[in-house]
Amino acid sequence: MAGQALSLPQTTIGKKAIMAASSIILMGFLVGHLGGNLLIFADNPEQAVNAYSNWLREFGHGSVIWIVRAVLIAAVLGHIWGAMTITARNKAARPVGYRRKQSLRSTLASRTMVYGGMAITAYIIYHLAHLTFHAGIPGGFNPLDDPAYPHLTTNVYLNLVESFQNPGIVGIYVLAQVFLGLHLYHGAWSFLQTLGASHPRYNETRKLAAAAFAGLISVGFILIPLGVQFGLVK
Amino acid sequence: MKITLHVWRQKSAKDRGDFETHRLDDVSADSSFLEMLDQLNDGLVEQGREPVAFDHDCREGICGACGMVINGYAHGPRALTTACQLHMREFGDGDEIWIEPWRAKAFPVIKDLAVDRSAFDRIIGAGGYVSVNTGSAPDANEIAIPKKIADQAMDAATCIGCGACVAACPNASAMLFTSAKVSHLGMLPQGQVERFDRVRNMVAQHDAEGFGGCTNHGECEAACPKGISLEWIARMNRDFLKAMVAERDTVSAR
Repeated sequence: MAGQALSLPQTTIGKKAIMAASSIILMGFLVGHLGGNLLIFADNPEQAVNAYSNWLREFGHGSVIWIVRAVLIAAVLGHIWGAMTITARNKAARPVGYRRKQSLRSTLASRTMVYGGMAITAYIIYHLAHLTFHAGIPGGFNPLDDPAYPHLTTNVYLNLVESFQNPGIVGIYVLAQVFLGLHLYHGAWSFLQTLGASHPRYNETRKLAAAAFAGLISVGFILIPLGVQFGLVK
Repeated sequence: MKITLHVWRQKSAKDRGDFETHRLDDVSADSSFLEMLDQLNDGLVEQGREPVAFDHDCREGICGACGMVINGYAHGPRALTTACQLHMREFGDGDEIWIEPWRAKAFPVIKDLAVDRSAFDRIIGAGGYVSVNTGSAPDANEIAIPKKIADQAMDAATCIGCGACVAACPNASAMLFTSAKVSHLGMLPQGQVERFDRVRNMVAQHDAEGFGGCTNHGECEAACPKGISLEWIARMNRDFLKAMVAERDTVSAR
């Protein structure tokens, strides 16, 4: 019979399941990343942020950060692979488009998933180049040689604050979070549907929870560059 | 009523096709959309021109034969209504109406507004059935089915296979159709024997036909004249993932 030899990643549902499963990892990362970054609003932010950064590199004798990085890279690649293959397939499924087409139920978020995904990918590359590889920090690289933070070679706090005093950099970060918020709104609603969880008993809650999650994550991240820019960070 | 029609005309699957504009001056507001097209065709035939081809059968909204995208909506702007049950009173005097065929690679245009939906038949053929032994008919109430299960199976079984879900889907995906056909049998005791082979084979056939994948826009659910819910797609995903991950293959040696 047809399709017996198909493996999960070859099927449309399998590709979406891979995207949904990787999205759970990525959403979990966002929660942790935001939680750590909000230390910028602590009473002594320089100490809090640098101690946290030092701890990330120290945790599990420095092994955990590499395990987390490997899992995240795998999740990102799986998510992008799923998106690319399914988008190519979906574009090919309608070679002649409509002259007139009205949308009834789809949202701005659902229709912009691919573009949001591309924008977020570009942002991740920029963000890594900026704060992980220290390119484009306005005051230049801030070396740090402090026995209190043996795993840090740079002053993470200072890199952040110098960067976010530049309105251009703040603009990039805020814009990226708007894309992220839209992407998360559809994604956080959609991944349970893809994995088979949909029921009238909780579907309304699921929609509200997705909106709340997307809102909290994007607003939370936006607060950091804006907080520095407008002098709310102590 | 006076209306202006922009109708898609295409001689064959190979023809490029384009819109053709017609004006009708005395359309009754009580006529159905298809009766209005009949009126257009009568006029075309009188002029010795080729009438507009479109599919239709029962004209009672239950067979699934008719289907066209009217002003950007599959089956027209009225919810839970097939094109044949749409009436001209839904439109205003002097309106312009754009009529296009279902657009999908898996639904090639045969002529004008008529598309080849045999891809749906092949999806059904891949597993949308229950195998039974021939012989004397089983007793009608031999297998007791709870009312709520029977009702839910019936909700999925109301799919008439018109293809509006594919037409409305931004990805031209037939997941709503496939999920309804997978699930109305999968809900019932008689459908359990082939349940996991069914979902795997029907989804494989869906993919092989060149339909797109579901990205949870929900356009299909809104366009469906029978109100088939997205929940069926979630249920199919559940069965499919279980079939692929956990179930032993009962058909091939693999």
